[in-house]
Amino acid sequence: MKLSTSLDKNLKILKKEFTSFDVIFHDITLKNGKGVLIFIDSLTDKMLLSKTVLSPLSNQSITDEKKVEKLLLNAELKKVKELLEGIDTITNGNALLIIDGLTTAFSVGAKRIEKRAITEPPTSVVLKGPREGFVEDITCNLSLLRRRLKTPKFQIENLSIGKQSKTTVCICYIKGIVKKGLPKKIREKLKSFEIDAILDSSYITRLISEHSHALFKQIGTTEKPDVLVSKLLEGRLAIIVDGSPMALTLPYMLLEDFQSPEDYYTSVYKTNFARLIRVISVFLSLALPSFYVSAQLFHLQLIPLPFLLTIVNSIKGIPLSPSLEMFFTLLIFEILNESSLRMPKYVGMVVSIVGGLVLGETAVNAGIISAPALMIIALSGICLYTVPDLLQTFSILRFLFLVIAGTLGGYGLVLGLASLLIYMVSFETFETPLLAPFSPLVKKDLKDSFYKETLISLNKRPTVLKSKNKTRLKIKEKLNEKRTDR
Amino acid sequence: MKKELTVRQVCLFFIAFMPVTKLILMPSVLSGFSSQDLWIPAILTGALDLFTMYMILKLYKKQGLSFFKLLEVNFGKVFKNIILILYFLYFLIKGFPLLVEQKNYVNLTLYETAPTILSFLPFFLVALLVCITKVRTIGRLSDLFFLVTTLSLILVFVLSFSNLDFGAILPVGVNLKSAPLSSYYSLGWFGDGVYLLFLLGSFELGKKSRVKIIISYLISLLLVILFLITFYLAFDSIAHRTLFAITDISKYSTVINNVGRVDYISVFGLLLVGTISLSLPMFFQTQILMEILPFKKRIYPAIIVTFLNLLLIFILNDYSVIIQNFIHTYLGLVFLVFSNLIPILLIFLRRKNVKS
Repeated sequence: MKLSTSLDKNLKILKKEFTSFDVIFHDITLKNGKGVLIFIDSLTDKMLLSKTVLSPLSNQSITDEKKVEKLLLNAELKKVKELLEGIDTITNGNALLIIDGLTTAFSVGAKRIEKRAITEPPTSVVLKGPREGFVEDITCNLSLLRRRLKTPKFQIENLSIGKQSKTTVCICYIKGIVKKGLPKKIREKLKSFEIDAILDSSYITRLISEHSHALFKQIGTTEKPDVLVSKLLEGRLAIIVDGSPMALTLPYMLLEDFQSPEDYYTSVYKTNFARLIRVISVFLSLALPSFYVSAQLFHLQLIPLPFLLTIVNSIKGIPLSPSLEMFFTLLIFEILNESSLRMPKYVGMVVSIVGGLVLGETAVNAGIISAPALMIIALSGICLYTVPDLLQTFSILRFLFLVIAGTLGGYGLVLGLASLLIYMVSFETFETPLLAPFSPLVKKDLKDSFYKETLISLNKRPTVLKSKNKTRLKIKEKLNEKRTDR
Repeated sequence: MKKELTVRQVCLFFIAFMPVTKLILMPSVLSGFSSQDLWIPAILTGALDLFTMYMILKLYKKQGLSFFKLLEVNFGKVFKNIILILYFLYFLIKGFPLLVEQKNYVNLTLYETAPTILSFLPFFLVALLVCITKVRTIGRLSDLFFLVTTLSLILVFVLSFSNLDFGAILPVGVNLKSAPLSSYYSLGWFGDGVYLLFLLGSFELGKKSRVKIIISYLISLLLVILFLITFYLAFDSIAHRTLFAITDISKYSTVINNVGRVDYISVFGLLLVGTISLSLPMFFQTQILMEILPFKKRIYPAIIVTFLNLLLIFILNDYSVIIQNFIHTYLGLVFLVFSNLIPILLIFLRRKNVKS
């Protein structure tokens, strides 16, 4: 619907739309008529409005649009012809200026959103390397990226998703590096949804995921701009959502979760050792409880004799079967874990002490659970935190494997592992295999897998991401003749 | 169009999946016939398979068609279906003794306290999963499992090394006369060329691809022969009585006394690969059903095939060992015809122009 020349007519419609108390209709008196500035009190910078709109317009005679454009000193000034566009302007936190007699209104950029300071993200703390993390404000997040990518090839596509929320969603990629056709595919997929609101980037994850009931993640997440930039430079695409500090990256591979941002800022020896620890830890966290149960129930020969004697002594008088004992201990661990995450920080500490120390100690002393079982669950729990992104999936798998071990023993575990591997090997998202570069084997990409080579050796982008431009590092040979690799 | 497998995956397929089915009962059977010369019949049968594979690859280079297409082009749809039904039955016979072997192995060595068929039944769930997947998944599993097979066997060799009596296989060639008969009995465990026949059309032959595939099979054969020799060196005169070699071969290592049964790492590793390896006959049975019957989804033939194999194992459970012996003793000719003779004879088919 077009704007009318009559201010009263326009106001009548707008007042019908905006009945909320925080929408301000500020009257402006001009030399030759009147105007109205409409904005939402809680979203708009009133000081800026008074400087850029009210002061310049006071006692001016406005006859056409050009005069307004000349007078207003606002960088985000836009002409608005449609009423619907005007409504969007107001809901987005900007101000709408309507002047009697003109068919054009003006959108004045005066958004003021409270935002928290840039801090180190709690989900990825590093000892070495940048400590900046994304915040909820999308403009701030984009500026963090722009600061690191000073190239016009860095593209940001803006979309507004959500019938009620009209959330800004940005698709970011580097032209010439990202896989051909991927931005278009994602854009079209995002546009195909009509949803009420996008409250967090996880909504986008659910919307664009290719498998609705997948056990594994299909889209990567990060809170760190340096990590996001490195992923963009590898040929991935990022999605940033207004109101969410969690940026999304795709295509996703499982290997990404084993790579810590710090790996790229420390020596290769430390990195490789850390990655080895992570792989072993994840394996232990998954296999240890189930292996212990299956060994105790079906394969006692697997346990060395001295250790077996220790176990026998400690399980004397325990009323539960090994599988039930382990199952309940694991269940208590998960309950403690969940409650300490949900509770206020200080109460959470109390829960950890009461749950971890008092409850565990008492349960062992009372002869309800054995000390080895408690130790194995504690070790398994800690191990999983070396790769926090896999926490949810592997917690479920740990339970599943425990049930299998308790009923079928070691061969059951072998079958469970085989099923898991078949599932993982055939799992693909956005034409990228989950287990790449191990399966399918991509030899070139193994340079930055469980083993990481030096920065100089990582001169090509990951082949599996099918980036258009494959080279990311060229060395001028003459200057580097004497360079050794480490 | 991009093929489902790469030549590398075909090569790794043989290294990963071919040795594992030959490690449980075959060493004991071969040592019963040939004593210290048990590796000679294995070489003979392996050489026959190698020749078959060479001819299949030659055929693929000449015709460039999948096995199904090749049959259709040359014999028409009806005859193609008849041959495929025969191959379906062949895979049923080929898979049965291997399944029985694995079932007995699992029950008797891993479940001393609870020997029951139920412990093996969940295997069929995994087999169903394998049957549902595409050839591409088998290729990707090969990428992962070749390492498991190789490392597991290396661990077995290393752990058993200190207990080997290296003089046990000498003198060589004493039992050469029994080699052909022994080789005939081993046909049920070999005949791997037939898998290559069914993989035709899923990969593209490039430069030196044929050599690579042949070498990969040679590596797999070498691993088996090394295991056979190690087995005899470890058990000597009681080798033919040692039925489940993998579990026993390295259990006398001094390392085990100190740290427990670390050799079970390789046992479980080989069982893991064996799960897929044993499902391969069922996988190809599913492929055949998909080809001859108008199924829209792969899940239906996969269920039929898995259920059929499960039923056989379940019904014939009490007679499984007798049937297993019967298959190895009397059906060697069937294995020879379907795994070797037919694939070799296909080379004489004329090349016809086919619209892809």
